[in-house]
Amino acid sequence: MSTSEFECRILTDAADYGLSTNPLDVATSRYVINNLNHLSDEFGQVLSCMSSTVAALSGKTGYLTPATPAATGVFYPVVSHTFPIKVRAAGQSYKFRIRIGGASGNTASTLFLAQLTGGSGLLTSGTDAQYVTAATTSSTAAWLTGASLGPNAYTTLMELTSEQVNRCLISMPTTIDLGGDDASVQVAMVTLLISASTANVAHVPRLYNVMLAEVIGTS
Amino acid sequence: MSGVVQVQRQEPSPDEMLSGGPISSGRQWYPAAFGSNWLAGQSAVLVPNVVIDKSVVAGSTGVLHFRALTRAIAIERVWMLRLRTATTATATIKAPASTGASLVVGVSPGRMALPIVYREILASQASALTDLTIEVAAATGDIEIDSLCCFELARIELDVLGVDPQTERPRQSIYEGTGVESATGVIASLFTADPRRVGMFHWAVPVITPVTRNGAYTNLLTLAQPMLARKLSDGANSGVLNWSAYAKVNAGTGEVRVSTSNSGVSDPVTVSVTSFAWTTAREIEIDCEDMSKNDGLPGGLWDDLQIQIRGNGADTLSIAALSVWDAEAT
Repeated sequence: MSTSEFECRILTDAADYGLSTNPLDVATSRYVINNLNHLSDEFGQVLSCMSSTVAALSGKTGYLTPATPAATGVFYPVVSHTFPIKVRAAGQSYKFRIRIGGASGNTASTLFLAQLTGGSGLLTSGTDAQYVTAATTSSTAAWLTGASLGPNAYTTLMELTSEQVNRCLISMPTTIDLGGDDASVQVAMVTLLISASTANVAHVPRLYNVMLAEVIGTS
Repeated sequence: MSGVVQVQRQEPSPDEMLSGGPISSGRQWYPAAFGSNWLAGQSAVLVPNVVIDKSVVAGSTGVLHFRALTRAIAIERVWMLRLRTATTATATIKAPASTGASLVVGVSPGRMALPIVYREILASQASALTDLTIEVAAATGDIEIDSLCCFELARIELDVLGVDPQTERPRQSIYEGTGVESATGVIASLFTADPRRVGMFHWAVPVITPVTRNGAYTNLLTLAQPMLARKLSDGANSGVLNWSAYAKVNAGTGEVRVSTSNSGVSDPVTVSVTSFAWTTAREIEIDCEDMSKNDGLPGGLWDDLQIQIRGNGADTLSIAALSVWDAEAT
């Protein structure tokens, strides 16, 4: 389950707090902790919303492709997105809802691979930080099914372990406050790399959409 | 140490808070202080990564618009852009467009593995419905704007909403006064924190190369965009989001309409201005997350949002951006 006890906010009134005559009992304390946890659970962000414009309106193909692949069955990068992620108490990431919209160039069997990578190189293979779609031979854009490559074999999710998140931690320049002294802030920056492979190098894969969003999950 | 913001959140457990038992300053309120600082001070994504996939030819400037309700806690926005060119090019980046500090970058062929990072230092802190703009001027060579994102950088320390964890120590006064300290501080911070999932979806192209439509409604997106709102209240099946389009017509009227696959939204807005402007922000109610599901999908379904545009009669609608954001108070 999520980290909150009630899986929602308990509505409270600010006027009921802050005076010495207001009691702070167990129930109130539980509501406060619940609300803190629930709002934190729902603080997960949308990280990627790549959405292609229909070709008839954009004047372009409406999809992204890798540079012409030199070999079949090899994954070539198509697009990469970088963003800050939320880090949980035990150091792992929130889960990530992943959805990939793609198609084959021309009935050539096509796969798409999503990988979450960090600042110190590619993350360990065979983990839930990698997600591969089922092969498609359709040349019509569609949301593709798939599964993560780690022990959880999630069909709609990806996840980073605490070790993987650790590799993503960087310091970014900032200031203490508005116009204040220089400082640095620690951020877990992650790059989502989408690659594709084809069974026929004459027919390159077509990537239309990528959606990645944090979700707290139940485990 | 005052209201320090950690990169790692805290998850204080309510399980030990039982009637008749003690409420521990060390086991509950101390992590709660760090937790409320995290909630108030961590980053929020204003513009999730979007693919622009549009060219800016040498000597011209591409300006992109996005709209969202910013958070008062932020002192700095970070833009991350990926640009490319066929041979070699130089770009000048400014955010906000026209008035931001100039960042001159060399652009290389091929899709970049690492993004260009642009710091937009804010002059003041405010939660406001904001036209977030960035410009990419192609000084030499044609440039392709590949993709970008924008987020409010996390704070390292909070002066206004920050709770000093030292005030949660054993034998410190608990629940005294209305300042941001002790248990009261955690409660006060929760009432004023703004932990929204700000940017839900954006579609944008440079204003110089808008998408135009003359004729009946047609889909703008190849595939409708999956979306779920936050679940806030007990029993809620939906959440409220805001949307707005940056559009104009050459004459007469045109329309922009958003619709959803599962929550039954069909919300059109008429455009009659002949210079680009944001349409009045409108609310839509879409499905929210199911917290009992690992992926949060209610009934195993996404709520997919599609955009449709049309120009009425002989009128031509031009659209350069559409934004969907979360403005619901917590």
